Amino acid sequence: MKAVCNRFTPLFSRREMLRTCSAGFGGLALASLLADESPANPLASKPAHRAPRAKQVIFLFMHGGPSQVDTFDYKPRLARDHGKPLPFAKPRVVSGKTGNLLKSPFTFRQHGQCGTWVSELFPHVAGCVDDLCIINSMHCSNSRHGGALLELHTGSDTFVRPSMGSWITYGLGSENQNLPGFVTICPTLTHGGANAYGSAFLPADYAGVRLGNASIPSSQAKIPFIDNADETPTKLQRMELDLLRQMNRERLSGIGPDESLEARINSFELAFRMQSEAPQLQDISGESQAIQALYGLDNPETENFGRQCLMARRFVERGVRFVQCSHSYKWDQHTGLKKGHSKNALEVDRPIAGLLTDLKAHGLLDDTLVMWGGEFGRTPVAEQDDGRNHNPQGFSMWLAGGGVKPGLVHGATDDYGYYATEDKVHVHDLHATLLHLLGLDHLRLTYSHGGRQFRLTDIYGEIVHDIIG
Amino acid sequence: MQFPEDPHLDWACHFSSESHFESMADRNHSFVAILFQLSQVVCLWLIAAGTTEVAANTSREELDFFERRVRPVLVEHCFECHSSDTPESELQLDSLAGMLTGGIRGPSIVVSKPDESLLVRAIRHGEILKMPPKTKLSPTQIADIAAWIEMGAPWPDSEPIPADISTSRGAEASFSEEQFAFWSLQKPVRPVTPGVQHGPWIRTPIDAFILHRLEAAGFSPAPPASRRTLIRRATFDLTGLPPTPEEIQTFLTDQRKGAFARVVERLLASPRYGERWGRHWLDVARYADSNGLDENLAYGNAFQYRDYVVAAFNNDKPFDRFVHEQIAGDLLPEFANTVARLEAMVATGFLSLGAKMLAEDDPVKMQMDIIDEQIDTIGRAFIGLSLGCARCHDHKFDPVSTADYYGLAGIFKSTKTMDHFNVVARWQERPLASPEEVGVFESQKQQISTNQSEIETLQNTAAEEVLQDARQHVGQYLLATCQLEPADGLLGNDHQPKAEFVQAWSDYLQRTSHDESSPFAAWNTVVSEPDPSMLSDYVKGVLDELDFPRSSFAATDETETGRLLHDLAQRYQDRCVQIVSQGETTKDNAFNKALATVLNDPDGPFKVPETIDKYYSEKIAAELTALKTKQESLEKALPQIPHAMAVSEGPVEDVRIHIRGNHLTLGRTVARQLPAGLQLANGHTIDKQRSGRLELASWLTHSDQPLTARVMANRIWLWHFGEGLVRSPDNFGQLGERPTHPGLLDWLAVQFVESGWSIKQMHRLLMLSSTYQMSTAWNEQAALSDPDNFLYWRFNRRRLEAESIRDALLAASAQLDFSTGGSLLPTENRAYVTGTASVNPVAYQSKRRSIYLPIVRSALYDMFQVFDFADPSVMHGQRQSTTVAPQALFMMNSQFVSEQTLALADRLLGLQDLEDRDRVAVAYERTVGRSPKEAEVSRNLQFIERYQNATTSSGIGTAEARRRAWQSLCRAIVSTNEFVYTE
Repeated sequence: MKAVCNRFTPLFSRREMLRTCSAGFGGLALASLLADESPANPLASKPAHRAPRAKQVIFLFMHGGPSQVDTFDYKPRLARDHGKPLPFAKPRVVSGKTGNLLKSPFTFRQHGQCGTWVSELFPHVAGCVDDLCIINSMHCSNSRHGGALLELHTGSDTFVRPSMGSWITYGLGSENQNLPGFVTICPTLTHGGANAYGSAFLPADYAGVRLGNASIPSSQAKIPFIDNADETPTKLQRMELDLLRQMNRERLSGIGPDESLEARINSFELAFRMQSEAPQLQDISGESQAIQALYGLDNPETENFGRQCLMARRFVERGVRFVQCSHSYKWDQHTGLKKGHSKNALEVDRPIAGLLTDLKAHGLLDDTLVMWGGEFGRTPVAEQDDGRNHNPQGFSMWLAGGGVKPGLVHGATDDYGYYATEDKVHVHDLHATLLHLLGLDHLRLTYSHGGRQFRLTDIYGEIVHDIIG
Repeated sequence: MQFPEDPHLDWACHFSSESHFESMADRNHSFVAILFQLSQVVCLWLIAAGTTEVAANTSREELDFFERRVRPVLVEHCFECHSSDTPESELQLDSLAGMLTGGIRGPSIVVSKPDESLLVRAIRHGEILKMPPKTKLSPTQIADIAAWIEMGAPWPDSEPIPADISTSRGAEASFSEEQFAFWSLQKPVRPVTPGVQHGPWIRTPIDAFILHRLEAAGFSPAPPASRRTLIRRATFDLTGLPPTPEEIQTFLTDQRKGAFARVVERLLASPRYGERWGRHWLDVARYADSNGLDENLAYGNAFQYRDYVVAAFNNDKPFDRFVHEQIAGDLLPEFANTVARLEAMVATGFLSLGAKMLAEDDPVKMQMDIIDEQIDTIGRAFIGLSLGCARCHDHKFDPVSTADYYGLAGIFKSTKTMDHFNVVARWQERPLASPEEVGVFESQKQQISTNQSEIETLQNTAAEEVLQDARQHVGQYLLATCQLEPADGLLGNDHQPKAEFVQAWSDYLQRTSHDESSPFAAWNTVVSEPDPSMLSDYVKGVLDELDFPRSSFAATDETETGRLLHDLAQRYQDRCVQIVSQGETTKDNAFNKALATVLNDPDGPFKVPETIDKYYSEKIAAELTALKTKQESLEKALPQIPHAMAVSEGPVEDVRIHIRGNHLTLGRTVARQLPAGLQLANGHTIDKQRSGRLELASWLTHSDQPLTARVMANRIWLWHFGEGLVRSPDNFGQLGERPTHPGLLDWLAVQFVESGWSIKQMHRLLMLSSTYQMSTAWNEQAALSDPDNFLYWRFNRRRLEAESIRDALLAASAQLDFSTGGSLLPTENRAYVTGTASVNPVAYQSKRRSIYLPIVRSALYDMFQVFDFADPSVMHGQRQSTTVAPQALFMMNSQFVSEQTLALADRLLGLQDLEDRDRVAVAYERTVGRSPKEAEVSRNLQFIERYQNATTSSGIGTAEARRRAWQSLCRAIVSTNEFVYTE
C-alpha cells in the first residue's frame, strides 16, 4: 500500500482521500492501488447518466405500514363521518375484514411556513416540515406485508429481483472503497428478509451489507465477520497477513499474470483496513453530547432508532451510497391503533428530526435524499374497534433533501384517505424518480439476465417531475 | 333522461375557441390537429343534424349529452394517447368503432352495459386499469360516461360497426422463417470431426474440435498439467473435495497406462461424486429448505428431493429418465418395485420447490404465479428458453406465443401442487409408502377420526344436557347477577347456578344494557329502577307480554325491589321453560323468538364454558374417559409415514389467455398443448383425461427434441471447464450467446443421447481429453487476442465454490463427517424459519458436507452468501465468482476458519515423531496437495518462531503460544490463492 489514510484528517477532505487511496470494497481487480479508477472494480464510482441532484440515499423504513390518515394525510371528513359506512366500494382484494369509517385518534395541526397538516404523532418531524416533500398519493399492488415490502424494495411483489439499493450501487458505484456501497442497519428478518437488500441476479458486489438484524439492538449491529473470533491482537494478525501476502505473491509470480488472483491478494489488505475503519465509524463516542441528544440517544425509547439514524449520517458523509434504517415490523396496528402508533412514532420522531437537522447543519441534506415510509398504509375503516387493516390503495411517504421540492404536499387521496386519486404515485414511479434524482435514467439502468433486459421499474415507472425542485 | 339546460351551448365555438386551443397547443401538436379535425366533424354534424334524421334509435338529447358531457372529457383526458395515429395499447377512443374494437385488452365498451365496459372500469380506477393514469376523473365525469354507455353509446355519424368486432383482435402470433431457422431449434446432427495438423494431441474427438480452432487462430494448446495439478483438479471437479496425500501418492506412482482414467473411475464410483454433481443440479432446480419470499416456512421434507438427486447422479440415472421423473414421476407407468415408484414421485418435488408468495390475498393470482414459476424454471432448466416471457406477450425473439404459454399453463393448472391457496397457502406433500401401507394408515386415521367424532358427539350431548337444564333456570341466573338468592319455594331452587353462566349472564346484561330492543331490556330497566312513567314502548310491551303489572312498578325500598325482581325473574323463567322444555312455538311470537335466540346464542349468556366437563354426569364422564384413552392408544399406534413435497394430477382444466398476463382480463381458451412453435415432427398431443405432464416430459426428451440434450451437454461442459460452449447456459434463445464451438456442442449432444443419456459417460469423455488435461499456463500472445479463452488455449483457473471451500477446510482438519442424507433443518416442517424479529435458528455447526446444510432462502448461511452461493430462489446454471472483502474477512476472522485451522494445528502438533519442518510438509500436503519448497519451509518455521515469541511476550504460556502460531500458519496457508483455486 502506498499510503495509509490519515485517521485525523477532517471529514471532508478525508472523504476525498479515502477515495483515492483505497482499493475497493467489492469486486477487486488489477494490481493498481487506485483500483476504484479501474473499470474492472464493480464498485468504482461511475458517472451518472445526467447531472445528479442527490448523491446518496437514506431510507427510513417503517415496516408494518404506518397509517396515512393518522400521520401526514389530514382527513377532516373522516372525523365528521366517523362510524358511518364507507360511501364507496372497498377494493376487490383485501387482506382482512373491516367495518365503518374510523376517525383518527390523533389531532392534526398546521406547521411551518408551508402550513402542512401533520398529526400530533410527529411533533419533531413536524418542526422540519418545510424541508419535507410529502407524497400523499402513494399506492402499490399488494395488500400483504411480504408482497408490498418486496415491491417497495425491489419493484416486484412476485419474484426475487435486485433491491433498489443494489440497482443504485450498480449504477453509480460507491464513493468509499473501504466501506460497502450499500448498507442496511438492523434489517427485518421476515417478509422477504435478505431479498429486500439482495442483489438477486446482479453481481454479488451490489448486495446490501447488513449490520445486525431486527432481533438485536443497533448498538450491537456489526458487519458479518468484522470481529476476529479469537480476538487475535492486530499486530499478530498483521504478521499472518504479511506471510499470506508473501505466499500469494511468490506463487503469482510463478504462474503468470492473473487479475482475479491479484484482486484476491488486495482484498485481504482492504479487509484489514475495513475492520479498523468500520468499528470507528460505528463508535459514536466521539459525537458531542448535543448531537447524541439531538438524535435521542439520551432516551431509552429513542436510543435504538436514534443510533441507526446517527450511523446513517456517518455512513453517508463517508460516501456510502445507500443506507437503510429499519424500524422493524412495528407499525402493523390491526388493533390498538392509538397505543401502537403513539409508541412507534415516539421511537422514531426525535431521531428522524435529529437526522434531518444534523444533515442540514453539515450541508449534507442538499445531496442526500432522505426517504420515509412503510410498505403500505392503512385503511380509514376500522378493523375491530380500534385498528386499521393494510391499505396499498393510498398512503403517504415523504422525501427530503436531494433535489426534491421542500415544503410541498404532492397528490391526494379521496375524502377519507382510502384510495389515491390525484397525481397518483405508484411505487414504480417513486423508483423512477429516485433514480432520476440520482442522475440515473430508469429506462437505461438495465441488466441482462435470462434473456431479458431487466430494470428496477420493470416495464413501468414515470418520473414525478412535479416534486423535483 | 333529463339534462340540465346549457344556455351557452355552442359547440363549434367551444371547440375552436382560442383559449381552449392555446391551452392544448403546447401539449401536443398532433393533438391540436385531432382537435381541429374534431371541431370540423362536429360542425358538419351540426349542419347535418339540422337537415337529416339522426340515427334511428338516437335522440337529439342523447347526442347533445354526448357532445356536452362526454366528448369534451374524452378530448381533454383521453385523446392525447388514444387517438388515431399511434394509439397507446392500440386503443382508439376517437371513434365508436375504435371503442368497440378496443385495444390489446379487448373492446373498451359493451354497449348499454357500463359495468361490463373496460372503459368504465378503467376510469373508475378499477384494479386492472387506472385511466387516466395519474388523476382520476371527477365522479360526475365518470357517471356521465357510464350513463352515455347505458343509453347505447350514441355517437354522431359513427362508422358502420364491423360485424365480428370482438374477435377482430388477438390473431395468432406469427413468427418469421428466420426465427424458426434459429440454430438451437434445429435437431443436432453429429458433425464430421475436423482435421488437425498436430495429430498426437488428439485423445478424443473433442480435442479435434478444439485444436482445429486453435490452429486456425495460430495458437498451440497449453502443455499438459502435472499429475499433482491434474488429480487436485479432477478430485475437486468430481467430488468437491481435495485429494488425500495417499490418493496423490498412488497416482504419482502409477506408471501403468491409463493411470488418470483409473483416477476418474475411482472418483465416479465414490458416493462423494453424487454430492458434488447433485449440488450442481440443485442450483438448476433452485433447491432450498424453506420457501423464502414472503412467508419463510420450512420445507421440512425438501431434503427428500435433494437425496433423490444425489442418488440419481451416483447411480448414473439416464438423464432422459431423470427429466421424466422430475416432471411426471408420479405418472410413469412401470416400476420395478414400490421404492422405485416412490422415488419417482419424490422427483416431482422439482415442481414444488419454487419460492412462492404464500400470503397473497388474491388466490387466482397466487396460483398463476406458482404456475409461472414452474413453467419458467422448466423452460430455462431443460431447454434453455425463457418461456416465462410469453406470459404477457408473444415472445419477442423466440417462437413462443402467448397461446403456447397458456397451453403449458393448462398442464400445470391441471396439476395439483398446492393443497390450497388461502393465506397462508399450503403446498402439497404426499406419503412415501406403498398403497397398502397408505391404506392401513388411512384406515387407522379414519378410526382416530371416528373415535374423535364420538368424543365430540358425546361432549356435545353432555354439554347440551347441562345447557338445557340451565336454560330452564333463567330466573335464577338473572337474580344471581344481582347477587340475589331465590327466596324459598321460588323458581324451583333445586338448580345450583353455575359460576361460569352467572358471569356470562352478567357480561351479557352489561353488554345489552343500552340495547332497547333486547328481550331482557325490561329486566335491565327494572334493575336500574327507572321512573315507571318513562318506560319505552318496547319495554312496556315486554312487561305486558310477561303479564308483569306495570302499576306495581315503582319500588319504595329494597325489600320491595327484591320482590319485584323475583317476580319478574319468575316470569322470564316460566316463559323460557315454555320455550325450552315445552317446545313453545317461537314462530309467531317475536318476543319468544328473541328469547330463544339469546338462549341458544353460542356467544350469549349460555355460552359453553371451557370448564363444562366438570358438570357432566358421572356416567358420561366415565364414557368420555374411556374414549379418550382409546384415542391416545390409537394415535400412538399410528405409524409415522415420511412425506415428500410432490405433485399429483388435479382436475383437468384448460386455461384462457391472460391478456398482458393479467388474470382479470381473459382472452380465448387454449387447449393444453406443447408449444406449437417448438413442435416436433411427430407431434405430441395431450390426452384429454390427463394434465399432460407425461406428454411434456416425453416431448422434452424425444429424440427429435433439439434443445434438451444440447442444454445438458453444455451444462456438463460448463461444470467441468468453468464456462459453457454456450456461455448463457440457461438461454439458448435469440438473446442468448452463440456457441463458441457449434460443431462440438452438437457432437456432444448426439453422443450424449446415443450413450443412453449417461452423464458419467460424458465425464469420461470430457476428462480423458487433452483439452481437459491442459495446464493453466499463461500464453501472452493468446491472452492478448483471446483474453476470455473462448478458444480454450489453456484450462481455466477456477475458484472453489462455497461448499468446496468449507468441505476442503473440514477435510484438511480431518473434521469432515461423511454421513449422508436426511435433514439438518432444526425447524419443524411448515414452521417459520425466520420470523418477525427472530434470528434464523438454523445452526451451521454441523461438520457434515455442505450439501447437507440447510438452505434457507432469504436468510442464507453467511459463509455461503459471501462466497457466491447462487440465490436459491431462482434457478442458476452458472455461479458467479466474485472477489469481495467479506470473503477475506471470513478467512481472517470467522469462528469456522478459526476452529478448522486450530484442529489442523493440533493434528500437526500431535504427530509425535515429526520435526517441525516435516509438520510444515504435512500441512502443505493436506491443504494444497504438494510438498513445500525448502525456502517455504524455512520461511514458515521463522514465522512460527516470531509469532510464538510475540504471543508469549503477551503473557501466554509456551504450549498455547505454539499452538496459536501453528494455527496462524495453517490459516495463512488455507487463505492462499493456491488453496481456494484449482489449476
